[in-house]
Amino acid sequence: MGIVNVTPDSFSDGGSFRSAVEAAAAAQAMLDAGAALVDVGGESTRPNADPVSLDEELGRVLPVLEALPGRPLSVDTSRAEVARSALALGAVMVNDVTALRGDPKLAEVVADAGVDVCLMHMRGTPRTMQDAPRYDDVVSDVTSFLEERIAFAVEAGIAEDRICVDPGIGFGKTPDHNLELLRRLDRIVSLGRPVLVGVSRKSTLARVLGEPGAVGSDAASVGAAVAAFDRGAALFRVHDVRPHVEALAAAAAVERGSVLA
Amino acid sequence: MTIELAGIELFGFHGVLEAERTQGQRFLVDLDLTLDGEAATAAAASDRIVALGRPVLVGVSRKSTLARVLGDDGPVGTDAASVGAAVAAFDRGATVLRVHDVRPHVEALAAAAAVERGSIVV
Repeated sequence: MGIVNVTPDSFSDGGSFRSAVEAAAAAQAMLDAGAALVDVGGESTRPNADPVSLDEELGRVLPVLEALPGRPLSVDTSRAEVARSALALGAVMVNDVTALRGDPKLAEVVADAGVDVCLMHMRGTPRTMQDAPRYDDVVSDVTSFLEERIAFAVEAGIAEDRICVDPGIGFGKTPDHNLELLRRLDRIVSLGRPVLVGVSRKSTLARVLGEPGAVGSDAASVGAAVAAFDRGAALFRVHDVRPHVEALAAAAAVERGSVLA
Repeated sequence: MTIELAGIELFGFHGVLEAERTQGQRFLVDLDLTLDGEAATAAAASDRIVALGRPVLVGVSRKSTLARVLGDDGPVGTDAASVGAAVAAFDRGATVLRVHDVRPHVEALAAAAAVERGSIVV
């Protein structure tokens, strides 16, 4: 899953584009590079980000979807109104960082459309999530949360086989929380739903290499993605698509023990 | 690669008929498992090699097997596929990786090792 954010946000992890034209070209390039899906978002979820208005979010996201008819696109939103419009334009999935807690109408939109949804764990909101996050046991807490959100989604009429889950690396977690979640990813895999991991360019990877910066390297991102794959992750939300495609193809071949898929 | 397991003998109370479940019977099993491809050998055998108790070096960097995996007939695998295979080998116990493009491997393996530890600090 490639990442395309349409946002003037100055946080430069390379996934952000100022115009719909640029964003659409980037999304198409990611599909050409082997991405199965591109996640299009109009609201930054980086730490300390301010929320954007509904009209602003619609104005950022919809032109990108309009420019790419028939492509496998996911919409990264927490708003029912944005999801409804995006699905009408052909989006095949809703990726919601609030796990259907942000907008009480989103679950119904997803259920009615019969599309895939990704439910992510986040502590607090993007504005507050990095304020000294604490857990009894981060893996148990995140697993229980996702289990409860799956039950909520199913209760709201979303087919269970349409749900994937995301531990939310970097969303209200310290670097050690993030690494512990990846180390024990089998707990989340045991929920029985495909697990999406978004660790690409996250600052935890910069920490691992002893760097103070906010953006992890692409090679470290690939390493963390393969480590997550080896622990059962099925979907990877990434910036630099081609190296991930090649590395994960190699890792999958090692897992099979044969060239043939 | 072929794995042969011959002469496995088990006694069990398993079956459809009542007598099979009360009196029990012997089960004899011979297994021939065949895996193909070059990668099969490396992958399937890796934990066996780690079990030798010595550090395991893997040299898979740019090898043609990695080109095959991506559907490419050429003799040279890509650096990204090399990194993917190196991390997969690390996750199976390899400790020394012989590579061409050093820095991406260093960064990727540092990330994979941090995931294995579950913490930043070594």
